[in-house]
Amino acid sequence: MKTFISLSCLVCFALTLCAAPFQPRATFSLEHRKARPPQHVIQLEFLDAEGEPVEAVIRLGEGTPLEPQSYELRARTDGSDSAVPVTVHATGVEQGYASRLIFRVDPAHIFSTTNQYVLHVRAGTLFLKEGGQTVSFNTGRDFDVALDNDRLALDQTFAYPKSVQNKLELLGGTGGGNASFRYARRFDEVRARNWLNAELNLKGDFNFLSENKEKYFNSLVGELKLFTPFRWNFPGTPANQRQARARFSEWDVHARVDSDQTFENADKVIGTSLGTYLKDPISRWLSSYHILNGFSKADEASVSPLLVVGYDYVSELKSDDDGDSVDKLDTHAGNHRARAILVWSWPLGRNVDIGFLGINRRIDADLLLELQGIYDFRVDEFLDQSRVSLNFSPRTASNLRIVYSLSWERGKAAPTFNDVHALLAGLKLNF
Amino acid sequence: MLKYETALLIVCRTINPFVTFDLLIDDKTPKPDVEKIKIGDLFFNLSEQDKRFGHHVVDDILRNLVDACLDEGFNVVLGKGNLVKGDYPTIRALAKALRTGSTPAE
Repeated sequence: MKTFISLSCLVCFALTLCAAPFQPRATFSLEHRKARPPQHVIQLEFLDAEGEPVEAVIRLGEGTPLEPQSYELRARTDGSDSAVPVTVHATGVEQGYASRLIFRVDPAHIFSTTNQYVLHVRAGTLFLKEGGQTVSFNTGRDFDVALDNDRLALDQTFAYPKSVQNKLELLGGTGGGNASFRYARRFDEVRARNWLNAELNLKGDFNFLSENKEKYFNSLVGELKLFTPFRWNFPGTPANQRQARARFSEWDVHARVDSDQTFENADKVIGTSLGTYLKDPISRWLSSYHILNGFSKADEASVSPLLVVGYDYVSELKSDDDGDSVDKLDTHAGNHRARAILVWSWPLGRNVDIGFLGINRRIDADLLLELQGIYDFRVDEFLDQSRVSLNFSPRTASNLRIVYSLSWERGKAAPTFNDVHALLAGLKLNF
Repeated sequence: MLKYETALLIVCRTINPFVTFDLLIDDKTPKPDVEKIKIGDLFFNLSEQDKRFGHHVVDDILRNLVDACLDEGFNVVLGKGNLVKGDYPTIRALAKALRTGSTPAE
């Protein structure tokens, strides 16, 4: 009898958790207020069964939802666990119910992606509106929600354009002793002009082993770029269609130095480019159906084709004039180049059952098309390069995105512009 | 709270230039059933293209969403991470997120 009661309690507890209509989610985010730069905050929201935020669900008069002592933000690193002071306020408030709780962090705390942050909510704090009644969330017990540092890192690239975003990787594998770095510094609204932005990029891939210096990872690039993103309309667009038919482009002017890691070969590049997202009837029609799902109507917004056109003046800064070195296009006298690239990912199917291949997984399938052309005026030569990739990504609940890729590539590939005809199979991890 | 219809219009206007099909009939009218359209991977894919071509599309989208809400008289809470990580899987979810993250601007 005792065992039966215990089992019944366990089942009831499990059912309570399973039946909880709303799931809490805490994420790093940005709070945007007029005349202030965006601030890092943590938001606690509740999601319904479809993963959408629930509106006006947190009872403000009951419990202590806006008292800072009801919460703890824990920052954990190896061997240390400290509490970070927060203040709380509510957003999306309607008739005594809030939609989200926003935690502003003590400005003295410097966020670090090496910390593991957890939001701890004390018992008896949160009361939610469920089916017309107000009930204590998590049946009145404490609960923890882990925070994802990837979101923090992405927000930092937006909120702190003048801060340094650098990256250093040490890689093993073929060649060994490889390292790469990325350093980016962005300046928004240069000289108070809201249309003008600047960016400094330094990146390098190099090898510490002298015998490998000319074989693997052998590139240093420094670039200064002025850019402006803008929306525009074709002439004659009706006044009530200006936003509905707006197009997006980003224009830049750039100066760049490309070198190998030993500074024996270096080119300088000065140029301009214009990237535009097209809205054309062909990609619209093709992306309206998923052909691997029996031509079912697509229910996702896929990215429009991107066309980038540009002009570069390339001239040689230094060359080792080694007859045995790879065959490069001669840039000794300075070359004018026009270039264009068209990129589009065509969604072929979603949640496709591939059980007939003996694989018990569902996948998304896309066809990535890339057409690239460069015309060099001095040598009067057109160099084209095209790639078609069939990408498969298994459906997974995790943040890790694995893409299996089968590519066919042809043309002349930079920087040597030797002929390439290749069928490639690969794996890409995005996280 | 920001009105849902306003939030929906802001989302459609902001992302319309980057998607293959049209989300709006005119400047004030979203197309029928536009709310159900999935956008979970849209910002991730745009972010990957930004990295490759050195563009700033996702930043521009976030700035446009925020500015449009401010023009309506509301501060909002929304991060670049929320967009790129696909926190809001449909147009309706993103419109709701603008609404639930809104407070009247001071």
